[in-house]
Amino acid sequence: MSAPRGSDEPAALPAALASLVEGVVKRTKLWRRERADVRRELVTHFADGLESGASASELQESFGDPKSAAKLIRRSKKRNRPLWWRATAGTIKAGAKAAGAVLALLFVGYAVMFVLYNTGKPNVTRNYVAEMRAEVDAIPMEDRAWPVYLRAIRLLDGEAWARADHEWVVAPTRDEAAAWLNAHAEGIATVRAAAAKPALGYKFSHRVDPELEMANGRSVEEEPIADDDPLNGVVVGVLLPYLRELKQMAQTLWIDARVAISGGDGDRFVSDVDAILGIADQVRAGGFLIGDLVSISLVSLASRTIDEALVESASALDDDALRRVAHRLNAYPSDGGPIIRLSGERTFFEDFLQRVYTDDSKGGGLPTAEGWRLASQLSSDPALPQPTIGERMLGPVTVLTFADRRAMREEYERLINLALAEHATPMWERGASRIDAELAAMRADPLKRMRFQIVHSMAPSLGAALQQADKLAARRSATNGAIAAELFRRRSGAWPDSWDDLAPDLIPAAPIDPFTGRPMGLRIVDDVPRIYSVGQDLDDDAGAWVFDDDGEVVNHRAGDWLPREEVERLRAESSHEMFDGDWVLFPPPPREPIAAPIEAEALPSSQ
Amino acid sequence: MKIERELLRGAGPIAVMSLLSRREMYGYELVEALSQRTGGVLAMGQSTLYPLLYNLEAKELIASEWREAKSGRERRYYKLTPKGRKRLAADSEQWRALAGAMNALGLGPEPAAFGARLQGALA
Repeated sequence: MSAPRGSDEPAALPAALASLVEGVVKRTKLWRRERADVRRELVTHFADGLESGASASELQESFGDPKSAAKLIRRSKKRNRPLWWRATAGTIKAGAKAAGAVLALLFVGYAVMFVLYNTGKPNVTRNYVAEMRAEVDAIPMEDRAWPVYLRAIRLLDGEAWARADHEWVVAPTRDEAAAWLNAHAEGIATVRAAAAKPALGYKFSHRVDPELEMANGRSVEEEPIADDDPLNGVVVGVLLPYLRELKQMAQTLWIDARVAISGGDGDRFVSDVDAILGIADQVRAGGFLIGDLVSISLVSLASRTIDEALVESASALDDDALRRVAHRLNAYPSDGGPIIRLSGERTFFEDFLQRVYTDDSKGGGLPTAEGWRLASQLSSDPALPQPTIGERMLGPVTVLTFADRRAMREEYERLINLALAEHATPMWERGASRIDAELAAMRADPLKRMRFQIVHSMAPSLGAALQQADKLAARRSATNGAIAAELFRRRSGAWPDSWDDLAPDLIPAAPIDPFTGRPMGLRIVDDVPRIYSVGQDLDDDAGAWVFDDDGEVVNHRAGDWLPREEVERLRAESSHEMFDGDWVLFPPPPREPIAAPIEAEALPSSQ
Repeated sequence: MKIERELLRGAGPIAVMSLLSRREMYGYELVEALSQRTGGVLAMGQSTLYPLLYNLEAKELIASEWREAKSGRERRYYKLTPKGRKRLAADSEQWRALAGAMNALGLGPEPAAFGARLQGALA
């Protein structure tokens, strides 16, 4: 109960007692009304004491310790406060206690993580780059293509040639290109000689290749890389300059083949196609995905080169030449393995793991400060700068938020194996790309993305890459079909009516449509065989080209894989997102004629 | 004789409620009564008494009221509530049992002076 107005004041007491009352009241830190109540009661108390004959000093002494009195009074008075206040205060107090406990736990946890993170050191036991270089060293010098390519680059005018980007690659017109090729016949022959070598023989390194720089006519500042180079750099930082160079050479061979076929030089054409496919095999060195993708594009280029020749100057190729290019095309890849291998990607990943995590020698390990600095930079510089204070403070959290070494590897292997299994499954049996769905799910889940950040950043667009391999397989089998059709025409004087006319005499079996698993379409249109897949809309449109809104042929888009469910959905919506028409694999899409056929009268006649 | 704080913590409230069971009293009066009637055993400083009273009030075992005394000054009078009476009855029973048990262990009469005096205070 609170004190009524007009209460006695401490001033009515002796100074010592008045001071005692004020001291106690002040120390209680209660609400104003509560303090007034306590003050009044204590004043009354001492007044009663004085009235009963006790002295001020006796009362002061018997009162007890003012500090503990204030503390006890405060505690007991608070128990008399309204229920809502006590409930709120109790909740806040409990919350504060819980928060304090959580903070304490977090602090302890952080301290543990801080120690683990900042004291853990990666144990880089393998020098993958050195191992790759050693593999190249094991290749006999006469089997290595790269030294020959360097000579070819010099003969092809190095830098000026490498920058060529014309309709005819090395020149803007066919005649200029023919002149350039004649002037560089030795260089082209050297490229063919290099392409015939069984191995590329490029020694992988993080440094710019001084020999390549010199071959391209550029000044060289760096010394040639010594075999005992002590640097053990990140594999993902290895430079692959040969990809650009070899792609450029393959395109030059393509132009040379076009000029050759238009000039009736079938042998030269076959040699050029053979060389393009040789380069396609060589760029697969190291098993890197990027190399495999470049390789796919080169085989596709070889296939296109053959297709163009069949349409424009088939007569320049005798039966034997046609069989040779067909066999060479089918012999790719020369190692007999799958087109996409991902072995290089695994090397990238394993190398990264050993640089990011500690190693408990049982497959486990925790992230380290220098490891995550490397991961964040994806740097190729082996001499990393010291982490900043901020990174050292925040970094330990990765011990908790990131997967440990074993879990990270298991997740990566799971995805890679999924991709390889998908690669081994025919497109028509596959449905939507599971690997892409998995990667998309990882991107959409912030926790999982954080947990498997290395996997996320190092897993390329595997689904799209695998699709390139599928497209290549379809293109190649269509080229085989076109060669067989040409051979049939020469034998019978008419185009085949169906695949039954060609298989099994000229080809083992009809080319399979990757979208349906059934034989590809075969029709004769304008006196040219048209070989096609039904494409993403799964409708047989009699080999009709697909055009975009501008009337341009966008044939390749029709070959983009869509899951069957997606096709059904787009059909139901009559969506323009799905291309209506077929994916024509032969002949090549219409474009400006590359040259007037030398033997127009020898073009395939109508059936 | 000074009683250990822990013992007093249990005895203090029941002693105060016992005093208030007879009539309402104000603070100083309670201090005096506790000291005199327990021979000083339960004499408690005001620093202990008032928090004890506020706690009993918070538990609704006692109630208080400011009222003008005969002297003309206002005092705060405390009295036992019905709830307090029930609690006192229950606690007294326990204390008697405790005192009896202590006696049975031979902790009296001299060592049990405290118990006897307490019994007297509670009577």
